[in-house]
Amino acid sequence: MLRFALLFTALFMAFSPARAQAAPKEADIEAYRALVALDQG
Amino acid sequence: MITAGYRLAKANAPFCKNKWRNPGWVLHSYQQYPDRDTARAAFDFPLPVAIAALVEGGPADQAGLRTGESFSDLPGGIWWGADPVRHKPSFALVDIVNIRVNALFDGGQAVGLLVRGKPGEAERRVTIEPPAICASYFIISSNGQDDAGADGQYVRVSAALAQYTPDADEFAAIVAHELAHNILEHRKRLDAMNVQRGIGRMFGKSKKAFLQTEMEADQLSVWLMVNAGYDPAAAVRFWQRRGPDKDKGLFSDGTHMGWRDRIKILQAEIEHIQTLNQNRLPHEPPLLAKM
Ligand SMILES: [Zn+2]
Repeated sequence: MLRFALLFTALFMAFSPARAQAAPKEADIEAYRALVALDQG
Repeated sequence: MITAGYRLAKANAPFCKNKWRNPGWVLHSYQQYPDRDTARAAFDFPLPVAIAALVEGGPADQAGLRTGESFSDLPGGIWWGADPVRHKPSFALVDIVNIRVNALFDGGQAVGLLVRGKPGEAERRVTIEPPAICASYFIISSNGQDDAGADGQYVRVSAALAQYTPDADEFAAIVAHELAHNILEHRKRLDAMNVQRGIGRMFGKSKKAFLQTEMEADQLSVWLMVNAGYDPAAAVRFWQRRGPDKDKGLFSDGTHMGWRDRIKILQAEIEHIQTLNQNRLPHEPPLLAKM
């Protein structure tokens, strides 16, 4: 299980865009909500 | 994801050796996202781990739990800790809560949970008594890849692959294949055989072992689908679209069969199922009769 978690962490890191310290963008917030909508499916 | 996973795991529970009591929810934490501030803005987390999704009509839904709510009194307590200064996406907190909750349900009785909703709302106690179903957690990953996987405990489908499927039946076909890997304990079997991962999986004994597990997962998947009320032909439809799409891709590592062979295997199983009395569900999958 931990191994899986580590894998995810690595993958997330790999695809995490470089970020500036700014307020979350509305488009990003919507993207996160869309992602969680898939959890429901 | 949880809707399909729960439905498959529940309908096939009589044939699963490993079961656990599943409340029918997916938990998430802002710590698992690439940007935790965006996650916090998207979802009001009352505590670092909250309910992301619920099966409609499932145990948690019936107990009155709602998405966005958290648990504030898990046995042994949870020390959430401070958020690390430098954010590194991690499923560690979700993992901890999943393990705690599982231990709580293990006793087999109704379980009381102290639930925390939106800030300012009073905490309340709910009682939940989930049934034991085929053991797996179901999660969507956002790794940018177009893939799915099963590690013995988790069934994971990437967001990209989930979006590729046009309907619930084709999506269920992917979940059923991965759940089949977990039910058949393929991870354990491959580990016991000392099968090579990485590049080594493409050759010799390791390749053969991988192909065997893939064939079994395909075979079992359609039985799981039929028992859960999904159209098993959706697995065939999926490969009829996906196969030609994949052929345009870079290369196949040889650990999965060609899509035409997979369709033949799926169709043979579907024909077998069609010879059975459809009024007597669920059907015992031949692969699980031995387990
Ligand atoms: Zn597979």
